[in-house]
Amino acid sequence: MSELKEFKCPNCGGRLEFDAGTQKMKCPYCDGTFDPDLFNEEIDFTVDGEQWNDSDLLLYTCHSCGGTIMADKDTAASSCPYCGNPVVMAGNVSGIYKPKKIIPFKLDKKEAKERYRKFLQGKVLLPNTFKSEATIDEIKGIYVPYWNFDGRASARMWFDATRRRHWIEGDYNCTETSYYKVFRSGSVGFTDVPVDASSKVKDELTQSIEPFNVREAKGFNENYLAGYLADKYDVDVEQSRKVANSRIANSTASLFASTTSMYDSCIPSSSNIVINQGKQEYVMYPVWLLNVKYKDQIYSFAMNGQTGKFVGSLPTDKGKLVSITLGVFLTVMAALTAIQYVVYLVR
Amino acid sequence: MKKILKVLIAVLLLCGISQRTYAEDGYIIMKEDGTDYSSYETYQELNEDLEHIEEEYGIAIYFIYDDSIENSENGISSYARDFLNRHLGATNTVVLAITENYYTVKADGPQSDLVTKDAKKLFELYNYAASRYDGIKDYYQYVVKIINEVSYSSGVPTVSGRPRVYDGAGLLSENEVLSLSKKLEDLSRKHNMDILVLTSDSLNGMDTDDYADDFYDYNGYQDDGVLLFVSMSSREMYISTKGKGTEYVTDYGIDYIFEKISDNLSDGKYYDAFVKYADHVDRLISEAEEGNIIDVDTEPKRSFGVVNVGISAIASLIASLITALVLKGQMKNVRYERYAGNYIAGNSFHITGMSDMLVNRHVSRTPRARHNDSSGRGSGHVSVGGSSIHTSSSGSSHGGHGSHF
Repeated sequence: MSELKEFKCPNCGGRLEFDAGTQKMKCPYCDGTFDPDLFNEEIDFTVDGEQWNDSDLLLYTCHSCGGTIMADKDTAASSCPYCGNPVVMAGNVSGIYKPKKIIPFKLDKKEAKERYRKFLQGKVLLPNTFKSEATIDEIKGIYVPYWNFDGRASARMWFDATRRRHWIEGDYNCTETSYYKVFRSGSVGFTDVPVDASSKVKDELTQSIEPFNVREAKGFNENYLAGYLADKYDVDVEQSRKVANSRIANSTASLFASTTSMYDSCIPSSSNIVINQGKQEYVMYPVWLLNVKYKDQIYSFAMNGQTGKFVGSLPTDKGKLVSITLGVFLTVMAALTAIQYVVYLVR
Repeated sequence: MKKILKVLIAVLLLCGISQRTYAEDGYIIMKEDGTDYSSYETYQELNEDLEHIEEEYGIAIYFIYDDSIENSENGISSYARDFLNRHLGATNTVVLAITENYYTVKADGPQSDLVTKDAKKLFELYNYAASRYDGIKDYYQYVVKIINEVSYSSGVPTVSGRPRVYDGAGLLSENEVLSLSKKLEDLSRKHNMDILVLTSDSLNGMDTDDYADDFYDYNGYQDDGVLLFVSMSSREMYISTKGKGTEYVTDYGIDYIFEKISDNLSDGKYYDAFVKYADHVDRLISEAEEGNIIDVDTEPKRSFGVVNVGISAIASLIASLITALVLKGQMKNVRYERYAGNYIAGNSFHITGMSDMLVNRHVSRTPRARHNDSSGRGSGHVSVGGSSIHTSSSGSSHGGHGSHF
């Protein structure tokens, strides 16, 4: 670690950072921007499965939650983005797998704050004091590690279906019900089904900000990490694959069920779905994490650093909920009764 | 010329005499040992009663006890016939005349035979009673009974005095007749129409509509009215309307009433059915009087109340719950993703096998609920609004139709 890897600005010699807005390396001193690929040659690239052996990245561990994050030397992580406790440097990243692909941050911190502000708008049940009292405790851009899986699902499915026909015969309403045994078989392919490989970032959050557009992914380049934090995977491939396969199976079943829409009712009676594994890839996706403190409670929000999809849970003002529900009830009640009474009087 | 004048004077005198006799006699003549008791207070009471009977039922009933009449079969018989001839005028006239050892019954009118046939019974009723007063009362009540029963069993009953309920089939108890009569009387006065209930065990060969129409026409009811007739022999209900009744109670209104009462009639709850009939007729007429005649295109108004508030309550409960769920849903957009639909590779979905096998088929039939279902009105009558009108045997116009129950 004696050799520092800095990307110096070709103009002024200042330290370059990757700028999400322009997708370029940017010099904070002279505002010069440069294509990150220009600097590739300066870095030893490792292929899939290869490990870091020499890097500017430092590894930090949180003694409180056990989270491990990577940051370049100058980003100097001081607190854990997951729990807010101080982190300590644990050494360098030697011996850790490098991701194969990375989707660089496209939206910056300002955008994340803006989206948060917008997310609060029109939330009728939000406590009145939330906007004024809640403070953004922390806002961090993190590259979250994902396992991406490809797979081809072959399915054989049986359904019990019915079709109804109605007609009038003299003084009778007739209904003919036809019962069918429906069979479908076939296959469907899935590519890059992402599974959050970090146990520290809540799966609920990372699944909610999906999807990422994997076509915009770049070959991994350490330069993209400049100014951001990165997590390292701590969920193994086999465990993640189960999650991916379950999602693939669910989608396959609903896809085949959608081919029976000509029936009035169609219930799967049995199914046999086999998934042939394709490639798996270790990738990093950009995520903005926001921790908002309100009345001694932390509310977590996440934003897709590529698409800007903003997710989270806000506190509900129970008093407002009750009074609005009651208000709607009484208003509708009064209006409906009045309308019925007017109709009654007119007739 | 003098002769003619003499005859004329004689006729005029006779008329005068007979009129005076009629007026003075009263219904009861009671003479014994040369004393006339007829004007005694006890007999005046009976006189009033009999006067009422003549008005109400068209039956004039006389009672004569006179020991000055020739005490022989011929004597009493000719006296009574004489008396009867002098007192004709009501539909039925009956005389019971008694002298020391003989009695006789003379009658005139459509039911005269039936009365004279029961002459012995009439005398015995008088003779074996506890007092003369009671005896006379028993006698004339029995006469009324004979004639009224006969009336019901020979064509359309003829009565007068406009009672509201004629329960010829005996479907109601005495109390029920009383309270139903009162109700109908009140409604009749309220709407200035005759609202009636008629029941019968037998149509005596007549058609239901003729029976009902004739009953109305031949009993001196007003030109406006509504009559419900229940014929037990044919298990039919029939509503006959006249004048304003026809205008206000349309064919649709009649079917509406039938729909409301037919279950009660089928179940033998006649009183309930008649009360409902009265209530619905009252409502139909009240609406019509306010210019709102209930017909095919106007539903009878339901009362505004619990049902309406209930509907409002349920609808607003649903509305408020949906609002609460939508607003609550806005607060959280974080959830686990169970599907991988975003990652389906383009054009990778292939169906390789497909079969749709029919395993069973069945057909169910349910009777259609028809809006204007009027439990088998045989004539295939279709309500197109308004009132269908026909002419009864007396030549007056009636509305109405019937239905089985």
